[in-house]
Amino acid sequence: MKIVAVSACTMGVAHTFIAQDKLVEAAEKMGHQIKVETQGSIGAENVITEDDVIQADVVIIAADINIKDENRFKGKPIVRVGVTVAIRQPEALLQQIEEKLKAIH
Amino acid sequence: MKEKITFKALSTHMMTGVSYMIPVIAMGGILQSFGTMLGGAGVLQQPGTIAYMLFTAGQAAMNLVVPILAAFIAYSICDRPGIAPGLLVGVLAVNMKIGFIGGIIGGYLVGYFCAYIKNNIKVYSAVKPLMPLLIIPLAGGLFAILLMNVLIGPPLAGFQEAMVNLFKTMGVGSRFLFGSILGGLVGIDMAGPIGKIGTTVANGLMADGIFGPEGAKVCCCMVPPLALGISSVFLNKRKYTQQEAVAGKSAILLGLFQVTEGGLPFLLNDPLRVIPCTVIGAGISGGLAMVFGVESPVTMGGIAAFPVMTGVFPGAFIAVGVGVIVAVGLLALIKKDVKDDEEEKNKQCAEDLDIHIEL
Repeated sequence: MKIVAVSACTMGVAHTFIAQDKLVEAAEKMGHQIKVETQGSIGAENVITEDDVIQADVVIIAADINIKDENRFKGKPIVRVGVTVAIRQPEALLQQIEEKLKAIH
Repeated sequence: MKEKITFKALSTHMMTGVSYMIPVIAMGGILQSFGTMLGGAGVLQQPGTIAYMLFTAGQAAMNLVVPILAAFIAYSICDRPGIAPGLLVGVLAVNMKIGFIGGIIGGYLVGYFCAYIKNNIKVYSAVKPLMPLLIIPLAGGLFAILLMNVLIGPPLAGFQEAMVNLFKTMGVGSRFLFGSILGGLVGIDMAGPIGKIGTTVANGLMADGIFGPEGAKVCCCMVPPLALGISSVFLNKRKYTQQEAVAGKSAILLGLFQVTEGGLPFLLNDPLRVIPCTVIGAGISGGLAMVFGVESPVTMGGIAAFPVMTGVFPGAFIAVGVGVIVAVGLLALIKKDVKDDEEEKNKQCAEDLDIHIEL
């Protein structure tokens, strides 16, 4: 799968970036491509481009707050979870997404 | 965005507001405390001095806290058109001295009001550009006036004063209880979403000029990572994995500077055994800090905040010290030696998770 994800937590200094690490780690282990944009207190980093979105099979929004620029993902399958899900069970999350996407297609 | 009003939605809006509010509190609190450090207690009697400028600027910034919170709760609900009326309802709340509580309620109501207009009132296309620029903010602003002067202002009037008085007259027992609940919440998820409920209350009371809960917050937020770090690095190495031992060193450092998230790696690996220890340790720490009258005008910093806090010695040292000792002791009792149960854990996790794909 090609995945784009946005992570954002309330303080925007810790959980946001742990979630990014965990998602990247899990995706690499499972052979998926992923790009995670962090919307921390410092602002958006590793920003997802239009091209990224076009190529992506699925969008993961792992956030406890409302993220910026959600409109750009219109038309893509979106999965919304809290930041802690991405931190605690990233592999289970990706696995479930894969299964459910397959079921849809 | 059209949406149902659920607890999750409400909490997302609140947390969005809080995420914008935190830097304002941090800036205002630190400016004020610099002013006090330079100018002493009589800083307001010395106009023209740098201390006076810092202190009054800090005060001005603190007056922005509630408006920013209200504005960004409204922004989270109905996007940009919510900001102007959200700011207004926040400022009115501050003026009417119903600060924090008024700001939150006002922010939600104004946000949903504007979202309602945005989603339900259709206008000619010629008028459309005026909707976000003029009509929604104006209608929202009128609604804010109605709210603050008629609907929620009067019932809440005197609320802030009552809270201030309540804290002044609180007995030792209730102080301890309040602080320990705050600490307990923080200990549950290392100042994650649950802990934020407690810390948001402390931040809000601080915006209203009550600094005790914030002092308790600074202390109890330091306890979980410090205790887990000390336990894993020095005392009970066998009870932790190699990864945890590495995380332990940074946890100690993070704990000293009140970054509670430093304890997260431990909590994630073994939540059932770690959480009770951190809840009790942080709870005791928060309670003691309240009893000893530790007060903080700043939200973050840990030991870096100590110089600008009051009641640090002996209060904060005792609060943090006892909390850490208790948590470390409990960890020694409750944590088991490390075994390889990784696989089983992953399986269990997969079962709890239920995601929904929006197409």
